[in-house]
Amino acid sequence: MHNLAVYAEEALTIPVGRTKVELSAGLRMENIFVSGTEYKNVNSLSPRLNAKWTLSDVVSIRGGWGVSEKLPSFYILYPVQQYHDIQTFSFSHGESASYVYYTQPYKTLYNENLVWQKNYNSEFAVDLDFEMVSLSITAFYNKTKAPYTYRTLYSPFSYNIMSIPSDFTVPSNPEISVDSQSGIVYMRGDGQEFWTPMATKVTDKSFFASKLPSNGADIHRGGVEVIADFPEISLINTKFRFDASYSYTQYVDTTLTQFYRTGWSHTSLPNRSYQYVGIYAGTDGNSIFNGKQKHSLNANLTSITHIPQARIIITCRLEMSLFERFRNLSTYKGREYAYNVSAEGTASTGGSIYDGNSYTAIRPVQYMDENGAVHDFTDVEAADPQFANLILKSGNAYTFAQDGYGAYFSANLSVTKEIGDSVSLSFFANNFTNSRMSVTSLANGVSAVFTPAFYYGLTCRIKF
Amino acid sequence: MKRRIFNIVPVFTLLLLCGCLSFDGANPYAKSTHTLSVKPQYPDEFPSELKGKTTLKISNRNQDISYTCAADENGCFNMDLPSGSYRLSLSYRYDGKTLGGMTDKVIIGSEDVSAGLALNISLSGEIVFKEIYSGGCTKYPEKGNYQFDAYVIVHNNTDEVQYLDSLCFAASDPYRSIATNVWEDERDYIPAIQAVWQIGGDGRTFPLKPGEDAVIVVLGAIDHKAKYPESVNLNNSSYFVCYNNSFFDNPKYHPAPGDQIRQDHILNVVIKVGEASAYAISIQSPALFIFKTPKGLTIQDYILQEGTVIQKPGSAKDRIVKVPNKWVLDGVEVFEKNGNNKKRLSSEIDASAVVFSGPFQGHSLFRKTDESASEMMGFEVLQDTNNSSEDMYEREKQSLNE
Repeated sequence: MHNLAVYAEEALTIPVGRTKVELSAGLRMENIFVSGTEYKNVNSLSPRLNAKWTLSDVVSIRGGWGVSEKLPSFYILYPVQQYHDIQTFSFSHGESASYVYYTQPYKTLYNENLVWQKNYNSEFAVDLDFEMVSLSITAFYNKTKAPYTYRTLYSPFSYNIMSIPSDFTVPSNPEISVDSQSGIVYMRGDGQEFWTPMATKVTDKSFFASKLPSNGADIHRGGVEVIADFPEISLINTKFRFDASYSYTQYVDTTLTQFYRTGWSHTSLPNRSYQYVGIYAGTDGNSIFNGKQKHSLNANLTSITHIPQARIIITCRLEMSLFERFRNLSTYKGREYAYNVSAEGTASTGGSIYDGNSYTAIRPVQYMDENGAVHDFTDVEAADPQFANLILKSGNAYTFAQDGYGAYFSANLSVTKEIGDSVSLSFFANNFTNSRMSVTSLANGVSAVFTPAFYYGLTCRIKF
Repeated sequence: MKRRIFNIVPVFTLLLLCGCLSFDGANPYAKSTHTLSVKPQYPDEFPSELKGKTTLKISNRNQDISYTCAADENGCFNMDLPSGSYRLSLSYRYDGKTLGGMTDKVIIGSEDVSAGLALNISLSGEIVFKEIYSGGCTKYPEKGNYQFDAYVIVHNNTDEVQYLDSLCFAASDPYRSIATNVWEDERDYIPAIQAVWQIGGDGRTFPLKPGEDAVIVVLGAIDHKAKYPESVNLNNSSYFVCYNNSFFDNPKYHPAPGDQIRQDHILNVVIKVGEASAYAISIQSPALFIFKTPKGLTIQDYILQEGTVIQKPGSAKDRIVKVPNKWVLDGVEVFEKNGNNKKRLSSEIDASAVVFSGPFQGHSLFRKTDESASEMMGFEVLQDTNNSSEDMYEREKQSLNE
């Protein structure tokens, strides 16, 4: 595999009256020269464009737009051969034991519809400089389009589990032979005896899991950042900076996703595996939500004191998490996908899941039977106990409740002393006020401390 | 310096004398004990005239000290005890029934304490656990510990032939007595975890004569003793075996059954509700039980009924099978020594718990023999008061090791 990347950039300044416009554009092209992979045209194109219009010494506006395309990983391009073993027969002879396994080779599947993940970034900003104060306000929007993810696909298969026939005595030094097609095990005492087929205890039908590289739902992020730099207060040789950011993130993935609970037993047939695969909207069975939403507001206040005579810089930074709210989402075809249930059952109890005060559950949209046929999951299946395993239920009553935390703070201190031209010593003390504020989850009332305990250290830098 | 010492000595002597004088005529323990008052909740069907005949066992959870306290005429108990953490258990046999109950971790600190005690009435089981060995042993003469050799022994405690056919075996959630227990204290069912096993047969295939035992191998129906002398030989043609390589294919826990094991002695998995590749039971504190479904209902039909297999509260994955208490023939609650234990089996199944000192000692939990009943009946009758703290004891060596 060879990787070639080319990057081109151009910047120009255009006077417009008394003002000027600065433009810069760039283009990055990357190509992976790869042989033996099923994926074609493993190349990407990532353009970007920035513009700044300086209206006066006080005001300028700027904007940017860019796309970065991400090529698939090596594991997708070159799937590793893997094996899955299922024990189908075991027996003891003397003090030894022998086992027969049905081995299934598999690889990560090829997805002809896989598209390259792209990140779209755009921002618009206003910069102001007045009275020695520099203020920058930036609005941004970012979209991760078709992010890479893996989905599990199940396909039905069957295999024989063998046992020793009731009228058969295992020879002391047995030879065994396995029919590679049927899986039937034969045993004999030595080369002179006839092969005796072992009994078929059960022909199990189960589902084989394969990983498929895929694209997930778009992830949207947006927000506003504010940075204010204040002039130095000469009396104390100190200047201040304040920065704050509000950000918002949301995604909902409704891609139909298969889930099979390996290891569970058939609801009625002995020694058989569970007979159905559930197909859900955007969840792989490990959770019942298929999206998330998050808002947060953070701010920092930094003071920088420069004592030139002593060649010392003292930085003190107050970090504040002012507001944090997040919530799990469950949406399919424009409606709430999960539904409220009681603590004991899985029948709908009505109301919105976002009231956040009830256990919740999801039904599969469809299910796959042992023959690989896919059927819609209806109220008939929901009432049938053999499908009860397919209804996934939350482990608590606050899965979709509004969650979040209140404000918490910590203060960090750094003192740097330059010694000569090539040595500097830095002492840092993080969370030096040892602020260990306990904040409480809105959803479940559990308290947590997110600030680290006070710690400090010394760094020595030597330049050569 | 010497002068200072001379000054201090008389002061100390005076204080000491004052201290001694204060004990004169008083209870020397008066300040170090407090009264524990226990008001049990007797079931309505328990005869009131018997309430005054019950006794309460009070065990210090951190020391090997226990007290017995006789009930007053109302069936209540009062006793002065030193500070500590106590376990209260009551077991009283009458008319072939057993009244029993237990409460754990009653703390006596700096003041008097009142406690309740829920009591239930239960019938003695027909088939009971005689021995439970799940704690493992050492690998002596090699270094390390060994835990793949678990078994239980069940015993016919009646004077009639009992049949093992369709007998089910399971463990209660949670695996350990000190684990987070999401279930209410008193329930009318046991939450069976991971799987339910069942002995086969057509109803009359596996008779168990009065006083007879049957071994059920839970892990490893092989001769463990051949390699590890402190373990046991579980390769025996009379033993029943929990083995199913469709569901539990981890050969470390479930090696191929030995050459002596009969195919029809291998238990069936009725249902598997967990995802593990090994059917493991706690080496410290299992809560095991055996049960049979009532006539006319098979366990296979039961688990197909709505609401019999439910999701474990607080878990998005784990499910359990609700096994009604009234089906249970016997269950044994095991507690960990000094642990913050919580009951898993309701008091009508096991009024208390047998305390296990710890794994990897080759120890097992063994039921006491009712000597007088055995002499009278002419076969081995085991003590079954549905109170395992009374009925069971910790054996220094597994019985199958001998």
